[in-house]
Amino acid sequence: MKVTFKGISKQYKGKYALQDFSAELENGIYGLLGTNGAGKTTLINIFVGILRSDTGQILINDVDARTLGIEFLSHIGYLPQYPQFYKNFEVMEFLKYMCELKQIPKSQAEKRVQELLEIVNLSNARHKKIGALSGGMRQRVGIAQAMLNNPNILILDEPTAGLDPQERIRFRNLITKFSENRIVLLATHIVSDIEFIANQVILLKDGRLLKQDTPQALVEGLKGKVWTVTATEEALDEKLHRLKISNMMREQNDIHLRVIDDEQPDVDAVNVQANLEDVFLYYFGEGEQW
Amino acid sequence: MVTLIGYEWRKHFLKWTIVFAVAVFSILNVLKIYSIHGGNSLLADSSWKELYSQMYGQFEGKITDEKIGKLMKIYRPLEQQTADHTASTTYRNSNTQLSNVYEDFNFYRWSYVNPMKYAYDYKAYAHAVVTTANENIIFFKSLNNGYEARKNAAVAELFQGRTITNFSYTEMYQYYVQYDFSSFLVLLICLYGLMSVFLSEKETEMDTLLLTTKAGGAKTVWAKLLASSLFICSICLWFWLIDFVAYSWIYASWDAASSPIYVLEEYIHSALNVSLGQYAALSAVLKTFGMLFFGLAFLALSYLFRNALVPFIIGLLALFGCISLQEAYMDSGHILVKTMNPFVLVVNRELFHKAEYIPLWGYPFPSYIVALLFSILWGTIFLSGLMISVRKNALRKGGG
Amino acid sequence: MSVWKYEMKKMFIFQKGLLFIILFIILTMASMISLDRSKNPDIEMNASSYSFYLKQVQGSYHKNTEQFFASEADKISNAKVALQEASDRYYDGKMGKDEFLAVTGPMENVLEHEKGFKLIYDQYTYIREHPANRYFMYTNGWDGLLANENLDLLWVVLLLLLITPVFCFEYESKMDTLLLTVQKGTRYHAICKISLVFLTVLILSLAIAGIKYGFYQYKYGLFNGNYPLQSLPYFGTSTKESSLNEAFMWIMAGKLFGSLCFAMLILFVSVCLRKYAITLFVCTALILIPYYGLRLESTKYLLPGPLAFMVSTGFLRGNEYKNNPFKDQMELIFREVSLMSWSIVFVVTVCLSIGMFVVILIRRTNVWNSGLRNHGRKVSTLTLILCMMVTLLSGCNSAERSQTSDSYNYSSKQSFENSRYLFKVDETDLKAIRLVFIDKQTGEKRNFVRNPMPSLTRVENTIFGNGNDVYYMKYDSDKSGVIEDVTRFSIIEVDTTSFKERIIFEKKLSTDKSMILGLSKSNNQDANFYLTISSFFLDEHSLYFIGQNEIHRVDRLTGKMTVILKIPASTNVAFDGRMIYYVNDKSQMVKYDTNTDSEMIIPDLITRFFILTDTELLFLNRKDQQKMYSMSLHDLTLRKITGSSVQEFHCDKQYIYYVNKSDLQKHRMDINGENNILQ
Repeated sequence: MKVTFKGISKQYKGKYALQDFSAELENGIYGLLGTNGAGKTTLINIFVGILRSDTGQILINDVDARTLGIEFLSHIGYLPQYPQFYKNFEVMEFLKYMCELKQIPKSQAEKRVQELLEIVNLSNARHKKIGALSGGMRQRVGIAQAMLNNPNILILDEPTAGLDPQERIRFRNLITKFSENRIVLLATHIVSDIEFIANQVILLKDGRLLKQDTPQALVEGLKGKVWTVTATEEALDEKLHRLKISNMMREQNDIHLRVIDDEQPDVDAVNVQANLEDVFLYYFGEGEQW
Repeated sequence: MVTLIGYEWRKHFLKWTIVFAVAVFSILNVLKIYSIHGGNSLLADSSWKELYSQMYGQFEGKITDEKIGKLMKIYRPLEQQTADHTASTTYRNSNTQLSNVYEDFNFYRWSYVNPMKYAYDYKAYAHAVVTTANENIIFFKSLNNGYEARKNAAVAELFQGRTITNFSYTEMYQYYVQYDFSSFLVLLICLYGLMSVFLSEKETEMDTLLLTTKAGGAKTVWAKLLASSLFICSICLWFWLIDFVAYSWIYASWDAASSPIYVLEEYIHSALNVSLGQYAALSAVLKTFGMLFFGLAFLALSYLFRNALVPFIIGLLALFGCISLQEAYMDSGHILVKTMNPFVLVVNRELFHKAEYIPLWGYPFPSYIVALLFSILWGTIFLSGLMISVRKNALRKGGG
Repeated sequence: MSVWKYEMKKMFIFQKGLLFIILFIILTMASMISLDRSKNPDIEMNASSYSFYLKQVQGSYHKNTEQFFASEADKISNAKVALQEASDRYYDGKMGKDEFLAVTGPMENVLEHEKGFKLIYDQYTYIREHPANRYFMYTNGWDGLLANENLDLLWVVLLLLLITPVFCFEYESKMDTLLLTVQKGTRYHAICKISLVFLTVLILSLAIAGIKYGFYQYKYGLFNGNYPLQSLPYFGTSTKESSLNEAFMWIMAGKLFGSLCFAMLILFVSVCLRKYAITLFVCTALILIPYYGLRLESTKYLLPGPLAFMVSTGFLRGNEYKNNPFKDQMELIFREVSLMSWSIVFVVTVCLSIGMFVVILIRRTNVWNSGLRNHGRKVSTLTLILCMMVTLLSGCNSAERSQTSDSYNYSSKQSFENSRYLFKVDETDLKAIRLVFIDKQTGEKRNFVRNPMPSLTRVENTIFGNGNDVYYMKYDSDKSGVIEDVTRFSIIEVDTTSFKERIIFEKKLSTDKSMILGLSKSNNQDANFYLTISSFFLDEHSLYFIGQNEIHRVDRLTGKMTVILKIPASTNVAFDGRMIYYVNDKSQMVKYDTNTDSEMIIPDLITRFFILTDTELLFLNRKDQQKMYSMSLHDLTLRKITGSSVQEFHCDKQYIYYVNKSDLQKHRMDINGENNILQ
């Protein structure tokens, strides 16, 4: 399976939400990273056919998605951002309803629903009303429904919102397992969600594609640019003002700062191994200081 | 608190849909007033209007014997000519001012003679009312009927010295005081606008968050109530202003503003001794008060549900129920039932066009006072209900 | 389960649609049963005599019709005269009983149907104006079914309740985007929803039309459905050629079409605006504002959109005019909707509905599904939106009454006497005839009605008394326009110990004035009756109104009015608290029991005039040369009071006053018939 985005643009009230976005996705997990308002949801909405792009085209295995028509939808599974679903449906009933909408034959639907309920650990809650589920459980229902039709392309918008750490780990494992011979596009701004599972990371900023690469390459690109600096309480304000800080930890009277900088920020600064969070901050860190 | 009210106002009422609805409804309102003028006004016919304005200069102002004589000099011959229905109906006869003598007769009869006669006779009528009321005081005292004696004393005092000295064009006020369509529009806007005040907090799940903040409980509810009141008052003010300006403009008349209210025949027994201008203002205030009550009811309704569907429909049905009840008891002698309906404040001519009293502790209270008291009572009940549910809700959520 | 079944479950179960439908049907049926009043109640009250004549003339007007009516009118007036003559001859002893019965039998048969003849004659005067398309028929059923164009508010509310959540629920649940990404969640899903809504509206519309048809069929009967529409006066001036059956089908189809358009409008607005409140507001405003706001009724039929069709009766009405008293001209109050106008409105409405349908589909279609053709198309849906909104009478307060009742006589309806006062109509000043009371001790005369503000109120010169309570009737008027309009009829109880007044019955008479939205309208026929009441009396449960040749009973609790008696003109009617006494056409005294609703002729009492006292009936005996007799109410024994014939008489608590027929001298005697003195 191959998905190609060619020069996708979308404007709202004269402002670009997505500008000339081009990328190529092949089987694997893609992390879509970007700050709020970077255009992640717009890109996903255009991809799944909720929004119409102003320009550009999307090719599926080199075929224009528009010519595929409704058939295209049989290839995708989608989890929207902050799903609520029908509060008065039972979990099982809702999944069966989605099976019906996804045209999954009745003979397979029941089995598939049971299977996915097991996978997302909701077997005991199958007869619970969706309105009575916690945020995390509802998110798991959403993940299950996205996978119902065994899609070739799985698109997840902020999938881990509301999940506890254990569920998050389960989710990562599930996605990794599922991604075999499939494309999984995972939009998030929680770096740890994709750090260990994404084959490629797409960085979006102000509607433009900033970078698309493997996490390792991105991290490698930051080699020699991540430092730790130890500061005293008195000097902290000055450093906070001057440097791009990715982390801060207090240890007795000292404060250890993790700094991202092209140059050595201080004489006593020590170069350290970068991670994806540093990459995120490196590219998106400006302008939004607390 | 002021800041909170500002935020509530911005959240719920600064919407393009409301602004758009107000704009469209304002246009519809003016069109409706225009159609009322076309359908009812004697001067909707251009020839009548022209003749009226020609003659108005001669008869307006203080009613004098000379003016009456002058009018009768025109009117009497017309009356005689048309008495046996044999006069010529030839169009534009040389000695007629309108299409024929019958139209001339009708014109003078309805536009000048009848209103002037009413104005002229009013003093004597008011005097007769006072005399009868004074006789009644003695009569009822002799029967130990203290309430009726006091009621008649109130009537005598009310009618004492009433007189209409001036003749003016009153059609504008005659139809203005009966105009209700704008109230209906305002109620629809309020029903829509107020639905979201509590519901939007539930939809955005802000209700729980609000409870965790210092000012998010009762203070926010009060801010919502005050912002809603402000919204209702603003909408009312806008529409009442449009009503008045449109009536004045379409009828091209402000003449009767200083005339006493009883210059309108419908208000011959008016419960107030105010001028038409003052009455217009008072009526607008009372209407707004009625709207505030309905607004409170809509707010209370919306608080009970999670989406707008059912409260909107219940609100609409309740509104129609009140209007229906109001219509059924229009002009009714069952004054207490009438005053219990909060819609009477909206159609407040029902309270003012006739001096009506309700016995409370043996004393006669004017019906408009009782109607106000009832509305305050209903309002307090709704408000208390709302505050109790808010508090209960807060405790439940807090406890959970 | 298929998508259909899920959507049905959502609509009827989760969104409580089924509950709303059941509630709607219950309320509709309850309101039909409790609020329906026949358009012409006289026909119902005189059903047998009306149908007697209707059977003879039913159908179209033909050349013999006029002659038939002329001969029937003659027959009735002749029968009246002949019956009177025969009665006179019989009571004068000039005719035997057998002969009398033989002579009067056929005449009675003729007169039995007199009221029916009046009703059919009214129809005749209407039909002869345009005999080609006006037929003789029983109209109450069809009038009830067709002759109104009120917007069914409950139906509007039901549609809002059922249809608004169809899409709003998806938006509320944030399912709208998810649905767009699944195969059957896009256009198919939207079409499924729209079809379900249309099917529901269709079934409900047909069900409601069926219920209404069934109700009027059961209550009145819907006969002669093939007769022309113009046979109903409501459509009298219409130029449309249609039978009643066809008209019903057209109106039903129109309402169905209007409801479907309204459903489409709700769906469209909900898809565009997504929120419940704004959807409800816009749809309500689009229906209600033109409905209540347009001055000329017919204007709404020229507005494209659902409203005109939801009240589609008006499409079949003709031009209607009203006299403008100020200009002495006829003024158009309803302009007939021409076929051309109808077609334009219909086509525009269809186009708008199709437009809305297309917009819904576009908005509920996945971009990939819409293919290459539609790329770049933008529909400004907003612009489209911008271009397109219990009490029949007042309850009668129950009154506590003493067990004993003073007797009432129609002939003395203008006076009443109790232990302290004499109440009567004072006609000394003919310009100011008024009700007065005279203190029996002091002889002082005062106004009975103490209202110091008499303008716009007309007090009728009739009173009814019972002990200390004296009742009068009044009409209140409205002067909000240029012309005075009677708005209300009331019966007032005055407790004469304190002269405290209380309204015991009130009826709204105004049909159109002082209305806010016109939700509470009074019936024209009812209003006309109340304007012709000549007197009244009452008991604990009911009020009895004497109208033209009829006595109507009105339940004080429910306000329900029925005709209980038909009485000859200018007869006395008396009431003793339970029995109503009156003289029938054959000069027989009839006693009607108001408790059992049974009638009984008092044997051997033949009179034209009588007065009821507390203990006896005083009457002029027709069988004894109009001499005055009394009949004890206790044992029905007769007693002759005067030896000579009496011209007329009246009485008070103490005396009987009479005029001797031979010398026209006035006499007075004690109430027991003694101490006769010449006055």
